[in-house]
Amino acid sequence: MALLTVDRVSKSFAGNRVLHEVSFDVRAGEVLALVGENGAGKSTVLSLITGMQAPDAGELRLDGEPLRAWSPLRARAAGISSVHQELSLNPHQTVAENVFLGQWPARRGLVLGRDLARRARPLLERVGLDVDPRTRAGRLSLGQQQLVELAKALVCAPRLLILDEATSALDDDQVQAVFRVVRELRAAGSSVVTVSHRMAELFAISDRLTVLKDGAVMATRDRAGTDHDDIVRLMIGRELSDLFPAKAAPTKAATAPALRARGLTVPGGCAGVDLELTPGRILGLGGLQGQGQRAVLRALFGLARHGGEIELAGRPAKLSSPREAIRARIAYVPEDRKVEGLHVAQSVRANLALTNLDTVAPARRLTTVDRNAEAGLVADLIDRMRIKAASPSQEARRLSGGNQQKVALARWLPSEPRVLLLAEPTRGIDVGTKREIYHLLRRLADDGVAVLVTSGDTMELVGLCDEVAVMYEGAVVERLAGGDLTEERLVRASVNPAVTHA
Amino acid sequence: MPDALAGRLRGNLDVVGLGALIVVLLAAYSHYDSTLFTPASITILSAQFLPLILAAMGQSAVMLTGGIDLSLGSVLALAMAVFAVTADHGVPLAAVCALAVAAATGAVNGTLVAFAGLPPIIVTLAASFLWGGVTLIVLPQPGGSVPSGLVKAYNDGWNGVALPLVVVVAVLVVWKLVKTTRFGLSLYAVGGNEHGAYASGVKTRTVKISAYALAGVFVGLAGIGLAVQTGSGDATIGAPYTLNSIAASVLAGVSFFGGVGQMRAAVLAALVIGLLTNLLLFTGLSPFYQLILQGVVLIVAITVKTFATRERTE
Ligand SMILES: Nc1ncnc2c1ncn2[C@@H]1O[C@H](COP(=O)(O)OP(=O)(O)OP(=O)(O)O)[C@@H](O)[C@H]1O
Ligand SMILES: [Mg+2]
Repeated sequence: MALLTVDRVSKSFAGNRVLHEVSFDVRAGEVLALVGENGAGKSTVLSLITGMQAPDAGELRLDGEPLRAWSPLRARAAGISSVHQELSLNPHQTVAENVFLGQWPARRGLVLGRDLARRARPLLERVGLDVDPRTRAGRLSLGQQQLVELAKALVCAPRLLILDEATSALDDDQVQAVFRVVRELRAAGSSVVTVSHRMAELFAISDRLTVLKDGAVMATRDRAGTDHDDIVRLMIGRELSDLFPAKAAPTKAATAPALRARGLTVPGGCAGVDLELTPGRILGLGGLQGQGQRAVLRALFGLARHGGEIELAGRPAKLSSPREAIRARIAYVPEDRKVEGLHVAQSVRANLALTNLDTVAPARRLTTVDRNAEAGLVADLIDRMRIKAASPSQEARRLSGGNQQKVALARWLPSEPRVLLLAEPTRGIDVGTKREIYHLLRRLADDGVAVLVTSGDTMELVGLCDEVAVMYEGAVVERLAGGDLTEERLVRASVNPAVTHA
Repeated sequence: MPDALAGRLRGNLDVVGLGALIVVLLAAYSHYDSTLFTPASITILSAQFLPLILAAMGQSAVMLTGGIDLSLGSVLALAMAVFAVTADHGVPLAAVCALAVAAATGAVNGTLVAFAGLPPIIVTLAASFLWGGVTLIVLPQPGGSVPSGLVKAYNDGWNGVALPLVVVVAVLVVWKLVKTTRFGLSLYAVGGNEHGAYASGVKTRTVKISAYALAGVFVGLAGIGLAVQTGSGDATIGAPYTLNSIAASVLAGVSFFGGVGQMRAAVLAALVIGLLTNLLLFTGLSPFYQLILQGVVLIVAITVKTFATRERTE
């Protein structure tokens, strides 16, 4: 018996058709995965279910009853809760206040902070989050915030839980906590719809997979009756060979480092970190989430006040502001693209051109932007990165999540950086594009760029990097390279640094 | 735990800092006016400061949702006019009328902001002309009649009790309660992340409309206070309150982007501005220099406050 039926639903934005007669159903007590490339329409279809948007045509039915005048409030009352791709927490309120957002338990009309914290604790525990419910949500890391979102979705014991890339900022441990919750819900007869670009996760947790491509359903498969290649073929319409590029030849290690950091320390972030970023090599920062990886990147881009010595091409340097870092040809693609990486209210064109004003405004005295050069540059980047936008003038915030990430990365390419710092470069990016990004990073490295990436995706670190420095509580506890760089060793070093050290 | 403690300290830094500033201002003040700490002075001063304090609270309530109210001065004058005109028929009735009108104007503002999807700054700018016009219809000439007994009790103390002070304390207590209701939490939630609040099933429009209406009540009280203080109504007297209330809210640390701020601090900040204005009057400087000095002091105060309470970036 279907809990929810999506029946020939279509949706357009300003003449741009995003969903075309999409049909699928969610059975009671199953986990359904929605798979598709960036911009395929997954989040859009979910937004119809959660009442954030209304379909242009077609119908959704819950328990056979058509949904009428649907809204987030009604969806919630009907037992549908969701974790959105874009976080919906209020950074200024406490974790507990966020968990109960919109349904604060009141006693005689008053909501008591102590009461909230007490009720929030078991929910936080359930999602494996060990934080004081009275901390402000804005102080948590992205991954912790995502878990708070999950706790929030569990408040009203949902019949249907929607997870739109709810694990994108989580490390392996935290993903397991999410899986545990999903399995509990399934065992209790509830249903879960999940979206993720980590294919392994989908196969680990889902019962059926529905593939979307360009806003249409390609197929729905039982997990037992399909495999990775089959799904990828349906998703991108072709085979996908060698996800990861070949690694750098070991001889290159002899080149002088482009950037060397000694004893890099950021108060409350990392302590005594030594790093060498060498042209031609991709260095990874691994470890559990929130062990200081972000602080290292922010320090190297002049965004975080830091101590320690930094040398650029052999000469001592100070990186006290992003401006200085950019002048030293250091580029940074941040973790939270909406805060630091993109001007979300501006067009794709403006976002791509901003970091490259030197290229498009060459007339030094007049310094007006050459519109032709700009259009050419933008068209080239959109093409190279396969950014899916209605037009270059589309606002960045209207792009699908993955495409926003591509814009954040693409804007640095024309400036030809020497050092490229990337935080979670493929978060929320589909496999096809992931492959392109891996190959692109390797090409950049081969052209002499020194690359530093952080990632919570173990497979990605192992597949992409020449060397991985594992961080724990702000310090590098292990360095893995060559034959030592395996998923197993990496996971072991991340969760239990003391043992591997001994 | 240290997080919570630091958070609490930082949260109260606003209040502590403003309190310190007030102590300094009071010390300077008592230098010019040695009767400052007598009950009579306290009553007179609190009567004088009450309208701005309540106006700042109204402005802060709106700013907490991420809005702003440029019509505040007009609404204040409207409430004052309604009160002055109807006071003949009994003070309680007049007060209810004035508050109802002010709350209604707030609700209209809020409805326009919530449904028209227009920026609050534009909606309330337009509304300021609208309510200004309405006020002139209600009370074309300064006048109206507030019972002189009430005026006297209010300005000179009623059996030794400073009524305006009682009003401020009462309103603060009410706010404290409102803040702990679901409505109060939604107010902060909408201000902090409107989209997220909507996605979580908060009725963001209702919350906004209610916030503007609540602000209307505060401003209405301010208008009544001003009418009782001066003994009559004046359609043109409200204008300065708009910008002063914004200045007080900003000084109090209420964010323009919404979701951050405390009413206690708004009250103290309004007090700072009131004391500062009086103090500059005492100096006998030309009004031009007074304005310049007031501006400088505010900028310095806001800068210091911002640095002291700034979030430490990791
Ligand atoms: N509000 C909007 N206005 C205009 N276009 C939109 C809007 N929302 C989505 N789109 C467009 O609809 C398409 C599908 O977006 P959607 O967010 O559903 O993709 P997705 O499958 O979730 O992708 P991703 O994996 O990157 O999150 C995209 O091309 C996007 O640009
Ligand atoms: Mg999406």
